[in-house]
Parts: sequence; structure tokens; C-alpha cells
Amino acid sequence: MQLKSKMLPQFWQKQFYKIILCLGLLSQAYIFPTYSQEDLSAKIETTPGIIESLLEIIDIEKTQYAALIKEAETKSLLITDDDQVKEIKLDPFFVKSLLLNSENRYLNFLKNQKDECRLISLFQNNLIKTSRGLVNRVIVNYVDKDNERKRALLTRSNFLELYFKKKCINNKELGQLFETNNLSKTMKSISLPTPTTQNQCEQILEDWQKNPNTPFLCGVHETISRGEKAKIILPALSTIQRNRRSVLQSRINRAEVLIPKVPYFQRTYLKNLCENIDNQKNFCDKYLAKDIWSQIVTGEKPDYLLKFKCKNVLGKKKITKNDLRKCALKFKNEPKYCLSNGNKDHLSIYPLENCNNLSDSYNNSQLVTKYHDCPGAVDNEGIINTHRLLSHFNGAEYSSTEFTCASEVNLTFADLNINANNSSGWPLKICFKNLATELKECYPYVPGASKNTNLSEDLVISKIIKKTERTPFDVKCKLVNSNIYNPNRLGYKTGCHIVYDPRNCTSIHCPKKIYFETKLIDYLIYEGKVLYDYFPTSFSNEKYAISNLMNDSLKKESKMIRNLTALKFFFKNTKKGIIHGIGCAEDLYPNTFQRQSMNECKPIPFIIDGIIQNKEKTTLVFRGAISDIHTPRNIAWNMIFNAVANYKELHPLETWTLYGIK
Amino acid sequence: MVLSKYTSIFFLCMASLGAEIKLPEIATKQATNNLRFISKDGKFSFYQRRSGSLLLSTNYNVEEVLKGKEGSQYKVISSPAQKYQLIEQNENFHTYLSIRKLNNIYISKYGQKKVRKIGEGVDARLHFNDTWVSFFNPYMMTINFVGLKTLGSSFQIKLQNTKNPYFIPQRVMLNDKSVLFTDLNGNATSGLIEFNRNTGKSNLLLKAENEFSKYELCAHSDNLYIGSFGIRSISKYSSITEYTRSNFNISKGRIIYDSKFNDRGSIICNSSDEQIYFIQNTSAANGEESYEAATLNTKTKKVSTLSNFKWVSSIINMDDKLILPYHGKFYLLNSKQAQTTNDSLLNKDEGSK
Repeated sequence: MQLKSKMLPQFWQKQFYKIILCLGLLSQAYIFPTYSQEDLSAKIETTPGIIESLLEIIDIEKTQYAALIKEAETKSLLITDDDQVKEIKLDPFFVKSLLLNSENRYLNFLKNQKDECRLISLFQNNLIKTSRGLVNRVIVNYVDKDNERKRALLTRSNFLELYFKKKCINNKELGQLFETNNLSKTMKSISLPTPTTQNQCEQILEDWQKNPNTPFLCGVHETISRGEKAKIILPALSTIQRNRRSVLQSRINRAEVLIPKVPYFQRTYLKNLCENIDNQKNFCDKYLAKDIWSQIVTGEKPDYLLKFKCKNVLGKKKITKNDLRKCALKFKNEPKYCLSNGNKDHLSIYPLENCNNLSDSYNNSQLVTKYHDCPGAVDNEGIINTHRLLSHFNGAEYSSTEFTCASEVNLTFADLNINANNSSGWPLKICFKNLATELKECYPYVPGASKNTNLSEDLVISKIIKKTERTPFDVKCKLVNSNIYNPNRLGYKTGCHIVYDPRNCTSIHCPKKIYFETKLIDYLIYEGKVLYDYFPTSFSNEKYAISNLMNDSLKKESKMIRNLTALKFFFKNTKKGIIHGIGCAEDLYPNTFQRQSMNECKPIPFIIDGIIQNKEKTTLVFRGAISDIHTPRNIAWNMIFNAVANYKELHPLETWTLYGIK
Repeated sequence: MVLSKYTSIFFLCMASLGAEIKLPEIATKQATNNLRFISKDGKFSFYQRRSGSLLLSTNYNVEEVLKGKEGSQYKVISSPAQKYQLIEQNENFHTYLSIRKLNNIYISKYGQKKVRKIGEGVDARLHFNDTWVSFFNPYMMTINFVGLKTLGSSFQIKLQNTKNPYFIPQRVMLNDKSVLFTDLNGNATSGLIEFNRNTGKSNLLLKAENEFSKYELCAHSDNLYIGSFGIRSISKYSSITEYTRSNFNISKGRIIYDSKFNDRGSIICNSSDEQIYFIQNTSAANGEESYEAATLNTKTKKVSTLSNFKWVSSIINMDDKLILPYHGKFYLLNSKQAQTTNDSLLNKDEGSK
């Protein structure tokens, strides 16, 4: 017997339990006494017992329901005046069909409830269905003005209208709150608590099960979910099936109206709640899961923590929620995967960190990273750190493609200097000799291509070429990889091309050849070096140190962090604050950089944006400027202290270069 | 009687638990943060000034060796051959924060002030009894070799690495004709390669199992040591293998050390004939993550821990003196405890020989 039940498909097992539940509810007529069988002449067989096969039970029920509908259809009514009926209720056989064909999870709402309004709220929100699917028409028993009990078929809305005049007025009021026009406001006022402990989670689920709002919230979820499913089915449906197509299209339309009114976090919360309302383990697992990837999928954590890595590993320009789920599953189940994937075309130090370590870091990190920079293409760690720091506080968002990831960083740095009137802070210039005036002309530029600024290198070169080559038309120079550039191909025979070798190119060091109509332009001279103090190295130039320019631009003050106690205190008192500093790479990346001589140091800026404290040890969430921005590392305070202390010895002012900004 | 026995065992245990390794700290007449090199016999030293100069200090005489921009940073190294010194000059140390930027590389005769620029790059090293210099260009991914015996002799090795822009290759010269170096393939898996100058061809000798291990090379006299160290917890293993340099054959090595932990490496093999030094992962002994300087006897394979700092990141061989930088201070690994206050401290501990 046990073996047999194991072999039953899951569907039939579910049906079996459902029948047990329904028969339990109906046979005792305990929950809804008003739905017990009365003296209405029913041409219907009695309920079969559980010893009969499940298939038989389902078949009988379908036949019964069909017969009932047939009978009721003969008395199809539209009751406009409530005086026509003295009493109205759902037909017991109709209720039986609902109970037998609806999903267990929603039927559990009725468990231990004596309030028939609960059943009506499920009905109201389309959470229960008959063997013919969602309910549009309702079989009712009513007592007419002559005190005669009758069976009739009403439209769903007509039934509810009449019913609310007699009973369950609260349901009507609640229903109004969840109507399309009021939904946004209602959703804003509803709090969706996320548990942090098992006990808390059990309590939250129990509260939801008792909450009269829950069927209405699940109604919203089901409408959206049906729309999403319809989107998948519709394209595969033949055009001949017009009715079916029209039903699906209306579900899609309905969902599309609701989606903007329910934010992503609330949608995922409701999905988890409604799909697991009867399954505490499944509901709680989603929230008590410590891995960041699941939390991103549920909307508890921002998606930029996964989005850019996911884009990178899938090789897509845009990713969907479904892609995010795929990545989250991969990262959760295959921790090794992150060690070597996620920074393609955004060069940084390699290998990366494993997914579990990343998850630990992200669970305690604060840095806002809505971009994907590329330290290997920028070759100036101070500029990288400045961009990361400013973007954190500004919440700046960038597309960060392979071609723009460096120019976005340079532009942030150039803007910081230019806005601070530090003209010498951005000294990169492209120069040429003007043959007409015999004078040298220079134009400032930001390396790389960018649509967001006139200082972009490609635009500056275009402007110069137009002037020097005296073309009547606008020139548009394009950056081209030397592996692709082929002057024999038609596409490269006209126009202006700036050719670079990707194997020998960073923002700061990138020899280029410029061709205009295949002619080599050899008179442009790149001048200037981006030299700056990250932290002040002299009192005279203190104002223009990048750390101070950032403080001024952000209107924030920084505080020196001298020890672990101060660091812990800092993070205890801030939710947005981060720490930045400079230390020797030999101490921060000892596996990669080794010292050979006394006082050797490769200074590297970094950010600390979190602290991970557990019983065994305390580690810090570290983002070195040569590391992938989406690959934080957990490192010991001692490594930071050692790195900063060794750099301090070499600093002209012997400054302790570790500051918190909040 | 029994009680006193237990008491003495208890005190012995307590004493051993409390036993700490105390290393002497360098304390010289010159501020240590200006010092760049002190010779083995203490007769000369190189130090820098904030103005950007590198100075050579000998007996009651100080001479300027190089003049750079204000804030220039210098690195000075030598080899056990003591024929030449390499000087790297970084003129924008504080104002251009780039790991890969190229330094000016100069060479001078050992302890002398006359310098000659030999190129631009990073990680300059002396090879093969100070007859060759190599330095690395991280932008071009090339190792440049410059001969010191014959003027104008030079050659270049181009690396395959495209995945890790911050990779710095290890390299040693087996003889005038062949070079062993490390590189990363397209997957960033580390490999040990032999380059033959005559044919210009490279031959892959060893390839790591995955991209989570690194190789280190160290040569001294006729000995060559190849270290293999895991760099992520997925690849927990460390080993050091000894080879003969004059008769090098990759299959004829003798494993002198292995461990199931990821040591940091930084092998120093040219400070003593029988000892090599490295940074060992001591997490197993300490019960928490920790790294200490350690010495390995190449004959007996015995490993001894030399420090007690928990987070050692570097050890340096400065003209036969082993220095451990930690928290901005410098500790000596092979000197007597008593000598702590002047340059004579740098006289080698006889007992450690």
C-alpha cells in the first residue's frame, strides 16, 4: 500500500489529501452550517466515500457539477432588487465543487474558521475554482419572497452584490481597498514584515493566516501570476482559438495594470506568502536563508549586487528577473563559479572570490554599486576609488559596457576637479600646431568614448580633425580595436578611426593611431599626466587633495579611524557611511605583490564598507581599487592596519591614511 | 612527591604556552623610513630625502646618487654576488597611484654612486652571478633582459597573460641561454615555462591544476627551488621542490616541503646554503588564521617558525640580512637579540650560520 502511494503521481497525492480535507469539511458541515444539505430536491448522488478511487470521485464530481449547471441554467437569473430574495447562499454542491477543485493552500484558510465570510473572501478574490476553472457564474440557493427555496444561476458580481447586502459587509469594504484605483495607496499602507529568526517567522505566517487582508493580497498575487503565465502560453496558441486567446489577453492586460502599483519587493513577498501560506518551511526558508542571492531574488536586497555580475556571466546587455533568478541559483548552488566568472571585459585582479564569501560580504556591506568599472583599463587606482566613493554617495548609475567602463570613471574624476576650479587637476590635453596661426592649440579630453560629455576623447579628436583637415562636414571619429581594424575593408576606407591595441591600452597609457579617410594623422600630440594627491601630502596643496575635494563636493566630513574599536563604532552608527584609505599592496594582496627591499610599497587606495562579526572572528568588507567592484573580499583588520602603518612611514606628513565618511 | 611532579609539569606547560618569539627591531642612526639599503658589513647605506634625492652614505661621506622630483620613492636591491645594485626610481609615488606604472631602472656597481639607466619597468632583478638584469613591463606584458657583461646584449620574453593585468612573472636564469619564467594562460592558469634564447622558443614545463595556484622561483648557487602555493581555499596545497640548476630537469626534483595549507610563499633561498625562508600558513598550530616567517632546512626538511606576529605579509633579504616589515617597523630574523640600537645590529648572528 505504501509502495503504491509512493508510486502515485504527485498530482493524485495532492488530490487525495484535498478530498480528505474537503470531505472532512463537508461531511460534518461543521464550518459552514448554512451550507449543509437541506430539503432541496437534488438530482444528485451522495458524496462518494474515500474508499472509492480518486479518479472515480473526480469523475463523479464533474458529472454532478455538469448536471447542476444544466439544471441551474434553466433558472438563470438577474436579481436586481434585493426584495426578490429573503435569503441567499452558495449551493452546497457548488461549494463542494469549489472545495474539491481549489488549491489546498487556499483551502487551509478555512481550517479552524467558523466564519463563512472567509469562504466568500476566497471566492471574491478568485482563489477558489470549480472543475470548470475560475468562477464567472454562481449556483445559489435562495429563498424567494414566497418563502420558497430555489436553486438558480447568478453572475458572480450579481451574487456578491446581493450577498453583501445580507452578510459580510466587511468583505465588501476590504474589496474596495484592493480595487485598481486604490491599490497603490493600500499597498503603501500595508507592512510586509520579513523575519530574522525561526520563531519570528512562524509567528508572522500564523498572523498572515488569520489576517482578513490575506485573501485580498493573494488575489493581487494570483492576478499578476495568471497574467505572467498567460504571456508564456499566448504566443503558442493557435489564432483559431479566439476565445481562449481573448481570455489570456485580458489576464495579461489585467496583470499589466496591477504590476506598476505593487513594487517588486511586495510582489516577491506576496508570491512567497501566497504560494507557501500552508507551508511554513518553504515560506521561512526564503527569509532565513543567509545567502544574499536568495535575498536579491526576493527583493530584500537591491538587485545591483547581482545584476552586473549576472550580465557579465550571461553575456547579455539587459537582464530580466528570470535571468537574475538563474544567476542566483547558480551562485547559490555552485560557490566555485564566482572564483573565475563575473569580470569578463572589466579587467581586475584575478582570481575572484567564491560565491559564499561574496554572499557573506554583501550581507554586511553598504557600498552602493550601480555600475561595473574596470580597474585594469583605467590604470589609476586613485581615480577608481574616487569614482566608487562619489557614486556611493550620489547613487549614480552607469551602463558600464566594455567601452564605457573606463570613461565613466575618468569623467567622474574630471568633473570633480573641473567643478572645484582645479584646472590643473585635469591636465590631459590633445595638442596640434595650427598651420594658419603657427600656434600650438590644445584641447582638454577625457580618455575613451562617452556620449555624456564634450570632453570625450573621440569627440575632441573629431573636432580637431574637422578643423585641421578643413572638412565642410562634421567628422565623427570612432574608437576601433586594432584586432578588428582593417583598412582594406570598405567600412574603414571612409571616416575617422582611432585605432588602439587592447593588449597595450589603459586610460593613462594607450598609444593610438588615428586614420582619417585612411590617411594617418600623425600631428596630434597627447599631453599631460593626471597627477594629484589622494590625501594631502603637503600643507600648501591640502585644499586640492582629492579626499578634501570629495568632502567638499559631498558636503561631508571625514573622521580618522585609528583602531578596530573606532571602526566598529563607526559602522555601528551609520547605515551609509564608508571608510576609505591608502595602504601598501604588498600587505593587502600578499599573494600577488612581494617586497624585495626595505620600505618598498605600492600604495593602493581602498574602501571598507562593512564589518562581519561572529563569535570566532571579526573581518572587514574590503574593496581594493584593483579588485572587481562586485567582488568584495573579507579581510582581517590586522592586514589593513599593517598596510596603512607601512604606508604611513613613507607619507611626507606621516598621515594615518584611513578615514570614515558618513 | 607526585604533586610536585605535576606542579613542575604545569609550570613547564605554562612556560611553553607563554613562550614568545621576540625579534630584534632595527634601530639605526638614520630614520628607518628613509633607509633603502644597508650593506652586509654596514659600511655603506642608501637613503632618500623628501626632496627627491637618493643618497649614498659611506664612512663620514654622503653623496647624491640620483635626483628626482619631490616625493620620489626609491627601491635598492643587490644580490649575493655583490657586484651590482639595482635602483628603481618612482617619481610620482604619491601623486600617481598605479600599481603598473613604469619606474626608471638604474644600475650601479655595488656600493658606488655612479648609475646608468637601463630601462623602464617594474620588479627589476639581478641574475646569474650579476651578469644579467631583468625587469617587467606590465603594459606590454614583456620581461626584458639586459646583459651586464656585454654591452648591448638584451632579449625580451612576451607573456601570454591577458586575464590578470596585475600579474608579475617570476623568473630565474638557468644559464646564459635559458630562462625559467612563470606565465598565465588564457584561463589564468599558472604555468612554468623554459625559454631558450638560441631558438627563441618556449617550452611549457609545468602547468597548475587550476587558476588558483601560483609558482615561485628562487635560485642560489647550483640550487633552484620551485614553490607551488594555493591562493584560494579551493586549492589548499603548498610545496617546495629542490632542483639542480646546472643540470636542470623538471622531472628530477626533490620535494623538500609540502603542506595541506596555503602558505604565502615569498621564498628566500639566497641567504644561507642550507636554509630557505618563506611565509608559512600557521593556522593549524594557532587555531586561527595566521601567517608567520618560517625557515626550512633543505637537508633535514625541518621547518621552524621564526616570528610571532600572526599576519606576516613580507620578508626581505637585504644583502644577506633577513628583514620582516610589520606595522611600520622592521624586525631582523637572523640577528642577535642584544643588538638593537645601531647599524652594527646588522652584523649577522654567528649562531644562525
